[in-house]
Amino acid sequence: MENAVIQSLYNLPRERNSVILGIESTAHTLGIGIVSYPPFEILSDIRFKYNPQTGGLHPRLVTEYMVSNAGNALEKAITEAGIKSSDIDGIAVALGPGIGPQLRVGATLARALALSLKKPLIPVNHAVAHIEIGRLLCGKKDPLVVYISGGNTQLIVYKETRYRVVGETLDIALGNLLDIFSRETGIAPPYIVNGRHAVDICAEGGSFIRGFPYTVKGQDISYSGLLTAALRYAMKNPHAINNVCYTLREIAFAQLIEASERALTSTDKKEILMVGGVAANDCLHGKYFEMSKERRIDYCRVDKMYAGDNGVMIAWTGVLGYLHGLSVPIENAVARQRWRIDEVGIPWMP
Amino acid sequence: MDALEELAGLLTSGKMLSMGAEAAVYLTSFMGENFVVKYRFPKKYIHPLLAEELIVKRTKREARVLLNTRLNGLCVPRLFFTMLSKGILVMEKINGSRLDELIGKVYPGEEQSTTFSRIYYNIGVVLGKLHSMNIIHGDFSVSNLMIKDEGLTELCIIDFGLSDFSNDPEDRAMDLRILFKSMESRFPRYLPSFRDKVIQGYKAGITGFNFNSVIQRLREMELRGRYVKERRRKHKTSVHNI
Repeated sequence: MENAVIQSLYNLPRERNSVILGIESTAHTLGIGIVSYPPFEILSDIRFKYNPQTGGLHPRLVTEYMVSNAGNALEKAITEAGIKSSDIDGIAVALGPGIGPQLRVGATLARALALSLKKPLIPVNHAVAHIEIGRLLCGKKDPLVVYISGGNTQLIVYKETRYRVVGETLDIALGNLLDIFSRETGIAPPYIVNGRHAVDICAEGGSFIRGFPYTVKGQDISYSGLLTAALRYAMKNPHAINNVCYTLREIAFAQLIEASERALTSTDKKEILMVGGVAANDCLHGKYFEMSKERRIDYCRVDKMYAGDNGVMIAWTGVLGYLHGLSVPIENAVARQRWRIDEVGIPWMP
Repeated sequence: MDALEELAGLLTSGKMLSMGAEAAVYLTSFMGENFVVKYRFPKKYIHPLLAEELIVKRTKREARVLLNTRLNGLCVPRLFFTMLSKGILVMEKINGSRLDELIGKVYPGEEQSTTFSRIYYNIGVVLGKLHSMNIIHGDFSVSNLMIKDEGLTELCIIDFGLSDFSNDPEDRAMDLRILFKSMESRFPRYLPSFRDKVIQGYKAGITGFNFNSVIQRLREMELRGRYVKERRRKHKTSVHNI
């Protein structure tokens, strides 16, 4: 990534060398990444992802897993980066939004590090971090952002100092829909096999069933009715599971794309950027690609490697905050489960 | 069938005005008169059976709502011709400006003047009347409201593509929410005064149903979004704040 490209995407006042360590622990992944700038360089990217054997994400179990791996992750991140801990200029941490117990693991680790290294602690909003790593890697200046993951489904644009949510799910997130459906019907866990979701694998060879609910309200969507209908149908017709998976996926994706198209029209954006864990879904990616071709707009999905939660995106957003002198006193660096993206000022937008 | 195809081709051969989310809109003329042709076409990335289901359902519903609202005296495009199997509607061309264009371009700085206050109030009145007919717009955003050029007073509603018949407070509140969110995403600074005026007008415009039931539902709906703080009422300063 060239400096000139980065300078066109960001307004960065102080071009001084910075090495930032970022900590991610909002949901299932404990990630520690170290990024230096300028030039942009990923020095290390350590991830411990919790994969449940049964059920979903039990906060206590995920937290235990994170705590027991935290020391190891930190040591690995610093060794891999080939730096001394004193070379680090700041500690960035995702304080929210996310699941409380997990957030506290990252917050605690970050406070301890900032105190012992005597370095500033930079608060990072998890959703902002997904967008910033996407903007950076895709080189997108002012896109409509489609942020999709296990916990989030939001359409976001930048307007007047902030990212604003212009459309979102009114109930459950897209990832959540796919996960709950696959768990309840017994086709998961494991949720992801060779990079593909259980629902995608099950949808293979399926055909479309008419009559499932399709809910788009303006630029918002709803998935809970679809989930109920799909589960009910699957219980009654266990042999038709492939058809149900296929139909569920087609409708869920179509709803999201229609809401995105509505948002594109109303906000007049000429670029789309897809970020978040579900962005790694190739079927959805294909559909967005077709849509953008038809509408003749630019479309980019974040590098699959950085679609899911990771420490690098927190570190990069930390760099942006650090260069703008953003930091938080140690005693105020607490987990914020409900930290909406539109509460965060974005001073680095050109 | 061939004649139908030919006619569909002819209707969609005009100048494309816009490419909306679910339809392309063309301008065409016949005997010196301008018409708008709304064409819902199947898309590659939507399953053909799903596309067909949505196209027929929405075209039919839009036609019914356009007739109903017109008969009840609201300003909406007059409907001239429908071709359900092709997803085509032919309508009147309204000579005016979209509200968002008007706010953004034509009168910069004047967004909170009395002219605009009157327009905002009027939006509420018109929506109230629409809801009193048990009709829900479904995408009642600032870009689907037109102000007629003459006098900047008459307000017309366009794009009933997501409309429906309903008297559910939830559906009514949704129209208001979409309106406010569309204002927020385009002109966040003007939202508070816009909201006040619209709600005043809405209260004045409705007949036959309870105003509070809708406003209360709107509030609930706003709290339903992801990570909304007010939803969490208790334990504000508890041991969890670490």
